[in-house]
Amino acid sequence: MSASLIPALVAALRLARERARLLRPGQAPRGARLFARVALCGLLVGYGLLAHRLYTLQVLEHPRWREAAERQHVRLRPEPAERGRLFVLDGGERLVPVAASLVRGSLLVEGRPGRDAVAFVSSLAAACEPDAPLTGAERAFVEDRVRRGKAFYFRRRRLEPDTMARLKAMRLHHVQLEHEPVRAWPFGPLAAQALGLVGQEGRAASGLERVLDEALTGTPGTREVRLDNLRRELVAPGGLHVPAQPGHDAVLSLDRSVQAIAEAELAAMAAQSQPQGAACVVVDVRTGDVLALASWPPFDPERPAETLPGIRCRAITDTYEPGSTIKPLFIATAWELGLGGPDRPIFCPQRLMVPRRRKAIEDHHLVGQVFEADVIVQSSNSGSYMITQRLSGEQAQRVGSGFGLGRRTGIDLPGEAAGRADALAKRDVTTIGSYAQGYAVSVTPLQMAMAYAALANGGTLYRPRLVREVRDRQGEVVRAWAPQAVARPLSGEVARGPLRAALERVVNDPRGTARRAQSDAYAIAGKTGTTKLLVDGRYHDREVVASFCGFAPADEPRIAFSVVVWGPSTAKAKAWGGTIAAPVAGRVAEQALRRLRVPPTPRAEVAARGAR
Amino acid sequence: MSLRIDALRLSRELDRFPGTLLGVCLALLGVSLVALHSASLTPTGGSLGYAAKQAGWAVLGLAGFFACSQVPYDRLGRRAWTFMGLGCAALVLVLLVGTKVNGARSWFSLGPVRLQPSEFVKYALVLLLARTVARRGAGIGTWRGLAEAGAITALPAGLVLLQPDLGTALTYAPILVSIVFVAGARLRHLLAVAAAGLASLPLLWCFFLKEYQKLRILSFLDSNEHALGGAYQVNQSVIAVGSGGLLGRGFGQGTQGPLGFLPERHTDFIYAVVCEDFGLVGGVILLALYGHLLAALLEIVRTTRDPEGRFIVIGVGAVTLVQIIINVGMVLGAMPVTGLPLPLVSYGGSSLVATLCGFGLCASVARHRTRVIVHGSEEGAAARR
Repeated sequence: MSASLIPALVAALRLARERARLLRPGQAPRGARLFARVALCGLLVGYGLLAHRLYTLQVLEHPRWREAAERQHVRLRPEPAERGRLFVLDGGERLVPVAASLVRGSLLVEGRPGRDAVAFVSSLAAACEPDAPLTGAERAFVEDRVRRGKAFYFRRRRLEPDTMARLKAMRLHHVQLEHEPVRAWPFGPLAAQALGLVGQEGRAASGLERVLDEALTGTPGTREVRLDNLRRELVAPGGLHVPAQPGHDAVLSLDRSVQAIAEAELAAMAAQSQPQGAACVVVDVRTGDVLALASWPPFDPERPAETLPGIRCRAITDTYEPGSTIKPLFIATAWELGLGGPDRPIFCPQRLMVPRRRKAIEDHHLVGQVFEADVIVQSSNSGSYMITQRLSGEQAQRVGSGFGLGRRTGIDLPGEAAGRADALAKRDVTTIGSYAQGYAVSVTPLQMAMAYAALANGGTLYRPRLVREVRDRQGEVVRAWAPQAVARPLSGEVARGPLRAALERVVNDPRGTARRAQSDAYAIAGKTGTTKLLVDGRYHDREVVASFCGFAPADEPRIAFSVVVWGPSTAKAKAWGGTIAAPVAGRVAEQALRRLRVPPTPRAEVAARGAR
Repeated sequence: MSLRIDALRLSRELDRFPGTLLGVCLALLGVSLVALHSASLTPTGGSLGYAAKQAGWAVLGLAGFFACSQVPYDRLGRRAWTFMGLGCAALVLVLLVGTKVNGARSWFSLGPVRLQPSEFVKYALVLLLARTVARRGAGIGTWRGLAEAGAITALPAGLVLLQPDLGTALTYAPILVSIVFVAGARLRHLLAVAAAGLASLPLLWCFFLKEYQKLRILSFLDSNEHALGGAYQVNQSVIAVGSGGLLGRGFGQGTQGPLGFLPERHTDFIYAVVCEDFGLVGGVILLALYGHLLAALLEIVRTTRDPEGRFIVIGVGAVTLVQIIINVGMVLGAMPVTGLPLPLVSYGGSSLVATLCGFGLCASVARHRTRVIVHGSEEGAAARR
């Protein structure tokens, strides 16, 4: 304080001397003397106040104002971390990325960028032109706001690096340029429903991205920048810079080729039968690895708004009544418990009246006197009822729990449906008659694929595995998931022996229901299913759910699969599991096995099986 | 013989020439060029080149200073009415064909050069008031004499207010007040006028002040409430001054200036640039230079016997002092915002040239005055008496 007053005091002392001289009588008029006095006081007071103020601001309050200055021009800009990549196997061999992050530019207009609307908008539009052109409405919006001098907010994302360089060179007012990672999908819509979306702000919105978010998200860095009053960014040399750490990569069990085949076959089928929806699941019977998880309609992550109806991963979120595809589960259990056998004779009437059951159990055609194995081959409802009703309530429930019906599989995806299997606990003939035909229980396509994988591998139910491991950027495995067996509903004997043979005959026997699933290269085994479509709690009189579940090759199964088609068109012909779903399953299985390099079943053998 | 006479004349010339005044003016111009160079810096390291332009104006202004100091002031005083007539004509003309800058139509645009007539009228008014009041003598003690002086001031002030440039118009008031005060106006008359002025303030507020002017005063009274409105400039200025600290951030190292937060940093807020770059030390040195300048003017007043000459210097001194106090006060957030430049330091050709001409008038007074003896030490002057 004293230091700042010195000049004021010097000036005052000088003036005091002047005043004394001015006041000498007779040498200056009275006014001048008064003036000198007042001028002196005024100067003293004025200088004193200014000096005091200067001292207060620059010494006493200096830290506060220094901080205020920093606050308005120093920004700690977060530097986004690159999100980890998702890899899948291709043909069971090499890893290919199906989701990765690219660094793209983002432009943000914020505030009042000056007055010259036309110039501002045209330079903005020119810079954005090649890869993110402004629409007419956007142009009008920006122009209007700039012209009226209004503050506004406008964002443009996914700008290519050279667009960013051009914008940077323009140094437009109130335009902030940032780099942000955006998600890119090298194979476009492939497995999009399962992979999920990442939001604009880098937050996972759905699917695997959400499940693995913690591992995939890296640690953001920080960079110090300077802003000028027009909010243009300047590099602050020597400023703080903590580089971002990229996230971990994940290796999925999905196989790119198998997934692509499944999606292509669903699309081809859909083009013909225009269903409401369809799903195809392919799993590895030895480990429970999910090789394909396809849903139709497809979803394109590059055009989310247009393809929104396809965003649901129907293979796990949608349930249906499995129909005849459930029969092998009951029949195999009955055989295993000694409550029947494949070679035991059974008479299957076309119309079976059961006491205390209002509706008869009907077959499509008369099956008649056959072996129990033929109940599966010809899909006899009456035969299935007669075998299934031999199971006690507890045994029926064990079928449900052993094959994972009515229970979430625990796949690493959000939104999985559990389905319902509580009917299996009931003992009234109406309910038994229903679930023996595959009604009264509901399942997801994935549950059925896992159940058939258990039939195929000798009776072990696996938890579906979608993520194999998480690796860091150097390729070191951070976490790995081993195959996980959750139940053992069957011993190997029945599953490997008579059941396999019966399911193979469904495809290859001239009386089988799934002859359209036949393949020249591989022996395919499986079971068709057709149920009425439930619409708002009532069965639709025409619409159906057509499905096919099975595995291949029949002798030494490698994959199990389920194909489910909701509401295929019945305009030309009645839709059946055998006509709609079985051909898809056959083609998917054949191509998938080829891509997985499974040796084909010898041709003669395939033919012979058909003749048997 | 003639050589001796020339030597005598030369030494008398040197004796009479106000060297301190010129020296301080040159020092202030030096400070101005340094500060303007800093204020010209842009965020990318470029320069807006204010310092170079101002140097050109400074040369012109110094020429004006010497020209004015060569002409005897009473000869200029005789033409005071002509100057004022020309000035008022220019003020009327500028209202018709002037260029609007920051909302006020105060400028003539002559190609790349802009002239602000109100700056020159300021010194015409000094000349005219000094002349009239000095000739009227004791008449200033009457209401009539006071009214006459007031009327002379009111005409150009009114024209400037029409532009509207309240700040410059306000600087005309201290010229009038200081001159009539020194000339011996009755204190009670002045107090009565001051009281009437105070009483009319509410009327002024309601009918005369523009919204932005009210906002400036309101934001001065409460800067938090108007942080983004009227007080933005002052806030930024205070941040600049405060962040300078004791020794400053260093020449051109400030952030408020180059990053563009400080508005009008080369004109009205140049003092904030000085304070940010050179801290308390720089701010105090600049104030001390102004103290020295005022002391030099007072020295001339002290030794001048002729009332007209004395009034001229007092008028120039008063208008300079008021501008310094108001401008520095505004920069430090202690006064409402008025667009007054800091004499000799702020960028602006008209202001610089006019101010230097004004000091040239003071130099002329110093050179051509009849001197007053002080302490009986100046024998030559005593003999003339």
